[in-house]
Amino acid sequence: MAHRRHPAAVDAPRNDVGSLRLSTEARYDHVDGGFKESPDGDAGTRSAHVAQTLQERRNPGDASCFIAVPVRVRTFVHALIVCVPAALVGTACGQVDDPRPAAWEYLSPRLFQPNCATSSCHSRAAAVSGLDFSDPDRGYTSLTGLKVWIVDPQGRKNCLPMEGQTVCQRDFRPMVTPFDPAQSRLVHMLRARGASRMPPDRPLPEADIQLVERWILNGARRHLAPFDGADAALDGGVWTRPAGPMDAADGSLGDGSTD
Amino acid sequence: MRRLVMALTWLTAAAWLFQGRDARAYPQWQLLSGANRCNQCHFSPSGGGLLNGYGRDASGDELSSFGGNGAFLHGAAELPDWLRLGGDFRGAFVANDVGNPDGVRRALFPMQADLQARVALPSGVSVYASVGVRGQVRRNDDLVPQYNYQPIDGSRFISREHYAMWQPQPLGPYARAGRFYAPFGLRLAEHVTYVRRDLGFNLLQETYNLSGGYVAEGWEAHVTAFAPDFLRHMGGSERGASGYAETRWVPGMALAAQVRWADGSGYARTTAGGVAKYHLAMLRTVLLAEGNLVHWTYDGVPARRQFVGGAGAAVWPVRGVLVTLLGERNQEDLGVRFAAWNAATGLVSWFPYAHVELQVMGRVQFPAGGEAAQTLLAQLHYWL
Repeated sequence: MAHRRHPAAVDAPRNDVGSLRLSTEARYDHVDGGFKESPDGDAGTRSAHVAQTLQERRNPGDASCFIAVPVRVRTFVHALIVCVPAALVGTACGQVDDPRPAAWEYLSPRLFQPNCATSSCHSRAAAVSGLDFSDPDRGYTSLTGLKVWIVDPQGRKNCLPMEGQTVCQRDFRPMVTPFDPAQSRLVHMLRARGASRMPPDRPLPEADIQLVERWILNGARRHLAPFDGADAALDGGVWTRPAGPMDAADGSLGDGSTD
Repeated sequence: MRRLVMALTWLTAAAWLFQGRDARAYPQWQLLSGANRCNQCHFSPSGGGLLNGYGRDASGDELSSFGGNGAFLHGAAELPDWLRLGGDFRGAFVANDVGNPDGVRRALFPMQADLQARVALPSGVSVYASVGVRGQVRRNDDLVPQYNYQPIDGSRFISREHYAMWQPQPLGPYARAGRFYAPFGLRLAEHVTYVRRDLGFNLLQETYNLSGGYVAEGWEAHVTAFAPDFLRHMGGSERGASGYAETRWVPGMALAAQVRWADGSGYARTTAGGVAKYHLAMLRTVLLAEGNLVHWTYDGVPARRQFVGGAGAAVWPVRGVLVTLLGERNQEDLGVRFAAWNAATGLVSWFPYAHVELQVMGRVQFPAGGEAAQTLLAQLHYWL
């Protein structure tokens, strides 16, 4: 398996742009897609950021419709008065925060499989553009581990002539740039920002796009690690490219065989 | 090159979105046309696919503006009793506005080409199969590096349904095994509706099933065990079981309860819901509704719940014209207010002559917090 360090791997000095982005999830501007620095210029640390994110995930109800009142009965009555009618008319309880996990274990079955893995698009059968979102593993590889054609007149391995030039298959052009939604092609396509809209028939709700952005901000990890220390959840802080669908065990590009 | 890629992307999207509306029934006709149950007009006990003799006669004598002969090849060829053949062919024009940087996109494309055959064997046994071509404009061998995921060889050729069935009489017990949609929900022909697309019944997601049930005049019940397409990997990955029970004890009304459990790739979901239809004879209208609650469980993250439903009306103002209005809601997560879509769909179908349908569909979707998506689809449908 070829593990290669991602160009945006977070071993850069903490005060560089990459680290700044890591520390500003709460200030990420979903409207224009840019990042806004903290007013006090505090870049924070990745550990603090991840710890905060995971802690929020463990306590998703902080901003729910249950107003913080000390009397349990009053809380229950409030819930009946507010939440039940709201649920009946099809609205939720007014969460400010999204309690859903920004984890691939959730995103794959709930967003990518139903919206992307349709029969003639990114299903296993069609695999349009080499992307297959039909299950979590294939979907994750599609976003993070595919190859790209590179024009390389000197190339000799895994190359072929195309339109009068020599093009070679090389690593890699991920659809997501971990820790950086604004640089992720996936987000641009979900928002139709300089790219064709995906899914092409129904734009995702804003909350879903923001959930994908949160997942990318958290490192676009394949598995949601248990909360046993912030840095431990980041595999030592190094993002590595997962094996592509046709990667051979020796790290070469494999034989190209398909299903 | 960029324009070429954009064009290919759009054509692929158009083909994906609108190709291959499967040869399903129009559930609007139930009650509205006087037929109470699906297999009054179709061979399949859950509707869709080939029309039987009653359905072919009705298409010309009762449902089309100018009549016509609904028999195979307009009655030009006589088939033996044990053999029934048919086909569905559609061409379409679509204009789609989803807020793309380059604006509204339009395409004219072939939508469906399917042939169907049913062979009746002794003792109430029959075999049914359809064959066709899956629409996809983009070539498989360009742009994509060969080491990435590739289409499965021959995946362009499809068979939406193929099954063997035992059904000695239209009324009574039946059993069937093969590929088809498990009886569930309103079974609308439009696969883009949320009650189809988001519940496991999207285009070409037919599962391999072992199904059985009982059909009576006043009620019917179906149970199905299903598994994914293990041969071609077309459609989803779900396996599980479903049940659907419908009563028609009140004249002009059909009420159904349904449940479905599915185990997919990285998740499991349990769906429980209901279907209602009510015929307003004075207004030549049938009211339609379906609602489902879905409980999702995932590998390693907490469970969540979803609501998917819709309601509307189908009006038959004059012979040969069917107007359907449908409102839908897909509350993707009941705990998140803005994780939802609403949609409004209007369909006008004109059946001028037996075997021919002209349809115009307008659909507006409202993703919460996002831009509305508008679609106009016009299609010409001919069936053998």
